[in-house]
Amino acid sequence: MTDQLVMGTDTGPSTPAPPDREAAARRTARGRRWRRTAVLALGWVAIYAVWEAASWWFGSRLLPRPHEVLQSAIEIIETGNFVGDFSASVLKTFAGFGVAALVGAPIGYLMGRSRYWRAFFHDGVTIAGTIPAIVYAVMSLIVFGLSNLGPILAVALVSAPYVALNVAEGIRGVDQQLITMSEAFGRTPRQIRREVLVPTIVPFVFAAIRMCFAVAWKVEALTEVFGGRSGVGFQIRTEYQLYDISAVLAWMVLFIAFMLVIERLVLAKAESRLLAWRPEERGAAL
Amino acid sequence: MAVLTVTNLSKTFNLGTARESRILDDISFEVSGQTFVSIVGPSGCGKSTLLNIISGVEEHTSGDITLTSDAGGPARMGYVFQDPRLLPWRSVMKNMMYVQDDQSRDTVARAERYLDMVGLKKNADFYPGQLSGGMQQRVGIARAFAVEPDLLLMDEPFSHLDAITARGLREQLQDIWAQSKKTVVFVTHDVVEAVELSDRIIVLQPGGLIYEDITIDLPRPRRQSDKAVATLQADVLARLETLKAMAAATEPVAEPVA
Amino acid sequence: MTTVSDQPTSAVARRRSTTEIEQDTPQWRKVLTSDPAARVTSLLAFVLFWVLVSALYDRVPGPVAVWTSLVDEFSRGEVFGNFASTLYRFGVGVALATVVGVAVGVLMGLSQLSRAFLESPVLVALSIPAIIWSFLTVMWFGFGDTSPIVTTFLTSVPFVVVNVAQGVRGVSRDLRDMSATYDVPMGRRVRDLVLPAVTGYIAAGVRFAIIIGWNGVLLAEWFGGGGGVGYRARFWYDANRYAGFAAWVVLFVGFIVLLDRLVLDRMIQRSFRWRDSR
Repeated sequence: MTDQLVMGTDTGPSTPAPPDREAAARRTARGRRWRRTAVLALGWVAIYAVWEAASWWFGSRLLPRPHEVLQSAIEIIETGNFVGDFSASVLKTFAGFGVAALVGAPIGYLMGRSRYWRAFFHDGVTIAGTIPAIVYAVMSLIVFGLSNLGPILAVALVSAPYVALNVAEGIRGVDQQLITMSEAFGRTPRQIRREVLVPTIVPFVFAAIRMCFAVAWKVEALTEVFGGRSGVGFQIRTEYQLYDISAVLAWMVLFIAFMLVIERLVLAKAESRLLAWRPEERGAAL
Repeated sequence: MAVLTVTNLSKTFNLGTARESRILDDISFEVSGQTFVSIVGPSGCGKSTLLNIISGVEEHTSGDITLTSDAGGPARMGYVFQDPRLLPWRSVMKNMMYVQDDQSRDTVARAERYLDMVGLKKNADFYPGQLSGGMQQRVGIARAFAVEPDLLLMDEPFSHLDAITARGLREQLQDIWAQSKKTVVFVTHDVVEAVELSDRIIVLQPGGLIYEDITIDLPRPRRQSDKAVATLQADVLARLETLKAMAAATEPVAEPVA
Repeated sequence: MTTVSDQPTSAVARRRSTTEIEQDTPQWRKVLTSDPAARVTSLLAFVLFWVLVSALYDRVPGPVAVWTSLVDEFSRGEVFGNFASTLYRFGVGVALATVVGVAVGVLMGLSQLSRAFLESPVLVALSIPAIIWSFLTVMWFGFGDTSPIVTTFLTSVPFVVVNVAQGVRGVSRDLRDMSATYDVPMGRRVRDLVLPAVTGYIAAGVRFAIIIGWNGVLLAEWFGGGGGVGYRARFWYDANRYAGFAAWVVLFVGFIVLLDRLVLDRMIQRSFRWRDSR
């Protein structure tokens, strides 16, 4: 019924449209693209405007003006020590991911392959996935005190449940036909694990990491703010204690931008290389 | 010397209960070395089950099944499925080597040789996702042959391909087989295909009994275009007419899938 | 020559049927490996692990110390008041986030232009960590309820928006075109067409928002001075009495687990009824 109501694509004559119709269509498309870009830019302008307005409302001591923050950001970049702190934070985040993968993947594997282990781990993993990040941050500080290991543990705790759940899904969905083929040719269980199961779960581990990357670097920064010895969070705490709010915001803005870049470029690139064998979309398995 | 000996083989589901169903009923036959044997029959005749039992994927209920290896020791088997079943994350060559027991230089050379026989030597480093369905199936066939098995099992390998590709692959299969002369058990529902490829056709009827055992004597290579082949195909089809009626009359039995 | 007698085997090793395995397993083994037993074993293993860790590290409080602290807090009357504060702030924040988030999400889902306009602000809002919001709101609004409420709102609203927008865009294009052709007024279109289909996605977005929102309210309370679970937990942490902190964690986690199981799961199941009932 809907196809009678909806005017679908124009089913006109198959002869090419007259030149001015074509040109007009191209103009419209171009116009639409320009309009979209303009509106997109308007969104950024709106952000800036809201910031300025709020800063005016609250007073620039409580919320620095955008240009003040920009100035702080430039200063930070010029002094050049941001590189050391940024890399410290990024390294800790990825170290945390490493731990999460090391712990979460085997758990997920067991959960996916055996009904018993699924029942065993299910409660723990789901509860661990709902605990707010701040709890993990403070827990890590209790365990490690003022140290660089705290943020790593916090990231690991936040990400491991996601890795476990994703890997479990991946294992359960493994192509049974490949397993029968391997058995028909007399492959040992160890060979099947290495050649069929492990490659199946790699995209799922990646999906889990991508899913919680956004949360993970925030937990990392949070833990560092509370009790880190280096890194962006540490700088933020230092500046906050010196009441330099625009520096706090500058560090944050730079860090956010940096992390977005990593998310979009580095992760996506690494993933597409590992999944180069995929016929169509390279991308999240989920 | 017989490679495969099947004696009084039966497969029954729900033995002794009210829902008892006999998939294979007291079957006996022998397959000698270097022969190409086809097993044909309508759905419900148990041909896929028979193949699964031979390969060890399924258990039979009673009877004997014996596999002999020339070299002594357990018989090596190769398997070609309806779909290629290649590891998508490994290259063609790695797929060929996955099923080999050793990775020595000789084995690699052997795998390359068989890959060449199916005309895919240039694609050795491609991923399966970069090949067409027909090409993937050719790799599957080469993979099974390269194991140089004592018994090569093929389960309707061309049924998922289009007619033109299937025709080309049938010819290629004959060529490879002529070069390596393995013992093949080939399951298909297509009698015409069976006549083209085999030395012998075992026809099963619904209920899992052997209906006929036909020997094909035509010289090789056989091409679909040969008059002799076409005549024999028509002849065999005619002989199996009554089987068609039998198939229509019986209750459809769900064939268990591995 | 590998020959076999009447035992069915071939060159491949013999495999047992599932019924045979079932019959062979003794009853005690069946009970021990059942699902409920697995969950109990899991809990026991966790407690054992906890005891081990607390024995090895004296910074980490053991289960007994935590339990004592918990009982202590109850007897001091600290539990209900603080919980009530936190729940109130959380509830208001998440409710506001839902209302605003659904509105913005629907708008973004239906209109290409508003999507282009709001895309960047939403992205920025998603990226700002809760801790920044809690710093700022405490500075702006001081101690009291406003700061946690605003923090909760700001941290969760982007997630609601994103989920709802996704859901609305998924509403079948045909259905939308149909109502456009029939000239159904926008208000009715939203109410009768979009909202029912989207309820599931709203619920999912709210669930996400809740998890994020808890983080926001606790962080704001941690830095603020207005009581609540976060504030009380910080009290113990600052005093280096980690058992007290852990007691609040246990209390809080227990609460959200119950909330999740009893309330939210049911909500989501119900709201996806139209899709899953076939």
